[in-house]
Amino acid sequence: MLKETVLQNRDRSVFGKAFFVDGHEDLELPLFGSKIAAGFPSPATDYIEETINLNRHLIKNPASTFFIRVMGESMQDAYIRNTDLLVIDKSLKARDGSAVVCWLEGEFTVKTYKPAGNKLYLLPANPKYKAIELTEGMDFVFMGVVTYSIHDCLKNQL
Amino acid sequence: MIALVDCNSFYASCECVFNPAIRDKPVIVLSNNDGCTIARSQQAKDVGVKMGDPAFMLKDLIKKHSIKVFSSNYTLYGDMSRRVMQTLAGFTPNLEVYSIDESFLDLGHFYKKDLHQYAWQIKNTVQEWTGIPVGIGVAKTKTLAKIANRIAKKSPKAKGVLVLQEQRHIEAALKRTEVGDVWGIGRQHSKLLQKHGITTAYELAQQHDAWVKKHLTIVGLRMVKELRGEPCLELEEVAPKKQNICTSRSFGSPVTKLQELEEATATYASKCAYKLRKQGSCASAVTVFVMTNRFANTPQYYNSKTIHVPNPVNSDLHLIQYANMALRSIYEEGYSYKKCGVIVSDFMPEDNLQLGLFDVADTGKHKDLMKALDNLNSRYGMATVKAAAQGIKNNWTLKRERLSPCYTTRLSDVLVARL
Repeated sequence: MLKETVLQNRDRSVFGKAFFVDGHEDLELPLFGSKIAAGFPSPATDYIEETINLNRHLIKNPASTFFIRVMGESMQDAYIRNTDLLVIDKSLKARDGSAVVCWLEGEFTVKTYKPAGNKLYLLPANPKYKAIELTEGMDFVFMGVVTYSIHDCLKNQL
Repeated sequence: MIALVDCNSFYASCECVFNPAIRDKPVIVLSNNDGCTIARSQQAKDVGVKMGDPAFMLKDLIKKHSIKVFSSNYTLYGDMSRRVMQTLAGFTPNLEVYSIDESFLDLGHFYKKDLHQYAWQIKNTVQEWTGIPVGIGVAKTKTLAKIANRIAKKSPKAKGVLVLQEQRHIEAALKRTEVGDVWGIGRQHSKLLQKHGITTAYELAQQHDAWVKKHLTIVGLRMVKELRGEPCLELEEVAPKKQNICTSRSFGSPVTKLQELEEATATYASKCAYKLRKQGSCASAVTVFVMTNRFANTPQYYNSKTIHVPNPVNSDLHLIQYANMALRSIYEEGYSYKKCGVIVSDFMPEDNLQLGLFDVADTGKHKDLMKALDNLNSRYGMATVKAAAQGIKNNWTLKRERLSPCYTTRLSDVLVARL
């Protein structure tokens, strides 16, 4: 959220507007502690000790982190499965073996980044799919490195 | 030294980050209600779209060059702005956000750094982290940084980054800047200066202080001093609270009925109330204005009414009540209204209110109610709970036919990748 204020010089004349950035929303989950105590049960177990803020754990760099939803089977052996929600960080450099999100020939896709000699490959993680060699002149934009995959275990029960 | 960083065609650039297919196509973004052009990608500028061009006049051009047209998506732009500013904040101890797409960075403490290299590092980092291209001007004062930034974006040699350090470079930059393009010189002052034969920033900087003060007031003098390299405008790290808040929008289609105007006014009053509570103020003056469409061939009417309330308020319910009292006093039947708005002013801090002797409003109850309302709406989304006066099905809301998804702030709108 942006907060807007009017900027004034010392003589109260206005020289513009400023927008200030509010922090991003927190998602907090209570973490319950329960110590097994000999003797009296501890009354403290009834209280919330602290909260886990998933944003803090899953988002190292809030400025460069985005979410993306995936459809399809080509990355299932890398634990990126149909309908998963991915956390991607644009500030990270792709390294050998990183899962990357990219724009390739007119659509977004996720593949494993694989430099080999002086060639670059995008590999699927499913034997049914083929490797793609990245060549000069392809319609390609790097979107970010996948940092986490969030899988809905309730909807995807085996 | 001070850097001015601003985003290139910010709104259009935001749309391209999540839609690489259009990254080298002409892209334009339209104002509220899909009215006029408010942002153009470089390619759209190249095919001749001008700032402010109404959408209906661009029909042929849009077809001919297959220009991509977007309604303004402020949720997306606001979040992208946060990302750009957060990135910039890592490069300076003092960041002053100046507008949604530009900010000043104090680089005063970096004596030993190669500023040119540092500016490039800033530019590349913002591009990598957010996908937004920026231009950077670095100089001794804000006004000079503005000039450096302008040249950085115009000159093919600079490629978007210009540091003005040496006297001869500063002089050359001032000579190629028209006086009307200097920060803070409006059209009126520009005309006056031209009349006196002053056409460039360089010539303006040569004038005597007394002459400048006489013709351009004290503010103008400070700016001229800045042109000479004397910092006069501090980086405002803590901005003062606003002294008035205005919320107003144009309607999607003309509105004639009082009830529809009342709903719109109530909605804007509620937005003002929310902003007041956010900055911890109460307002004693409520202004409502209504206007017809100046460009339509229909009877014209503009009116506004300000009510001074007995004690300062910041509750939705109070402000809606007063705003609609004001509206009813100026509403005239038989006109097609294009726009209405609510302005609140005459603020007091909410924690040292003087209660009136005959104050019957139950301030404490309202405070608790509003706190609950704000909590609900921040958890479940804007206007989940609202006053009935704001209406349920708002026919007067905006036309937003070409709105892009809120890629970064709404889970149901995130990008989808095919595996």
